[in-house]
Amino acid sequence: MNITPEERSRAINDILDKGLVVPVSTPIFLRNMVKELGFGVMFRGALPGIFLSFLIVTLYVLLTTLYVATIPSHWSPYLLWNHYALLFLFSPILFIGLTISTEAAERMRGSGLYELKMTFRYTTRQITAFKLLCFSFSGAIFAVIGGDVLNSISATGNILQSVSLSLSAVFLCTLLIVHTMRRFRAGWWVGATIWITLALLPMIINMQWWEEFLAHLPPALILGVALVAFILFLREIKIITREVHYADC
Amino acid sequence: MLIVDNVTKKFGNFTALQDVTLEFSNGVYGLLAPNGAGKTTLIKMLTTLIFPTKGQILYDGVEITKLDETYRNILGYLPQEFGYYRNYSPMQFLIYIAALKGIDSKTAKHKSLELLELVALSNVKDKKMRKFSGGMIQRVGIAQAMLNDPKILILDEPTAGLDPKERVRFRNLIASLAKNRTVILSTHIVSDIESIADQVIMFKDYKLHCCDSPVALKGDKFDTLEDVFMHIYGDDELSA
Repeated sequence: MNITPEERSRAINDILDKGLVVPVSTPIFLRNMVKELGFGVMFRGALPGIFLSFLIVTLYVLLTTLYVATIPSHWSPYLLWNHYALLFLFSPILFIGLTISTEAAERMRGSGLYELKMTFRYTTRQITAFKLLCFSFSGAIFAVIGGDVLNSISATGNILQSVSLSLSAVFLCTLLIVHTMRRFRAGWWVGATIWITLALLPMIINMQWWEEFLAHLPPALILGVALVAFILFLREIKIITREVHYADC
Repeated sequence: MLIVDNVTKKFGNFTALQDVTLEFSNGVYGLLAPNGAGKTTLIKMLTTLIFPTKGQILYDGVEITKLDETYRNILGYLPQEFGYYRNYSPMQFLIYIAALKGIDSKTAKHKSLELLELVALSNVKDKKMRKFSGGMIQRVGIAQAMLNDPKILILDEPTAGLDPKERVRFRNLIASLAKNRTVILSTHIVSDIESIADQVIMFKDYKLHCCDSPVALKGDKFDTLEDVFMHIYGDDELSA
């Protein structure tokens, strides 16, 4: 095949531009990071926060279950009659707790170290992205279990509706928190506050309408929303992991 | 070789650096300029913390953004404000940083001991850093930057806040680390680099003013590098 000198020169320049760097996909990058650093290093300092979050959430679920089991149903109307609204609000509680506790611990312990950690082979931002991914999976498992438990003690619940609402709440909340942290360089609390406000507002304005609205949404639609939110969340994680312009102005 | 190719950095409408072109090979490079002249901006670009608005930075012919973690793997950095865990001992801290840099625990322990010896902190290696002086903390900072045996060592104002005795000690330490690597040292204290820098880089009005050896900069006209500095920045320094 004959090529012109210009084409040859352009081809050589393209190859030189790429150098010897072979870009890897995000899952392979994350796998390499875990392999080289190990969970112990990546989650160092986060264990007290993780333990505390699990403890608080477990206590909350236990106390709620006990409360409902020991009193007449008409004493706890909100939980029994409006459980979809409550489920939607509280499903991401584990994810929020884990994110808050570990981020707060990192900020308190590592003040002044952030800039330095951003120059290491695996930056603190990339490690945080991996932690958020792990927390979202934990949050999703908790939401499914929570949805199931709450549904079993509810008078009017539907298991598919409960679980799909829980999952969509978790992934919408994770997306909101991660997006605000990345796009607007906001703290973890901004996304969490927006979520609580958005989920609480319709409850305050018209609880009955909100409960019925959630109860009548088709489960396929809710699961579709959860899936889209999860895909967008993964895209955020990919951007955080591969984007290097963290402090660009 | 590290090449800064026609780099401009803007923050909104403010131009922090304009059309800077530099080449770094092995040796000590001193970035010498008054505060606010753009030293830290250049250093943050060399450490991938921020990126040029225009131009590119290349390592061995490849843009550092493309090299990404491969580039950071050969980088050692001591920031201007070095954070540390006050309740950690230097040994604990170095082992933690080594783990974050992906160094295995056996090598990390061996390397940490070796570096603590080098920076003369081996006698306090298990003491908590909360009682350390500024000079001792800076030496821990140097040790952490050296953990991965970097090819490029970047030190941002490493002598700020140190007493004269500590500054001399630090200068000697940096000179000893400069073999087979590029050391880029930012300072506004002339005496910090006069005796150890192979090349002195000066900025004025956010542009590269000169880059040459201390001897060449002094020429026949000036006795010391301080005279050169005062000749270039005299009015700026007085007004600052």
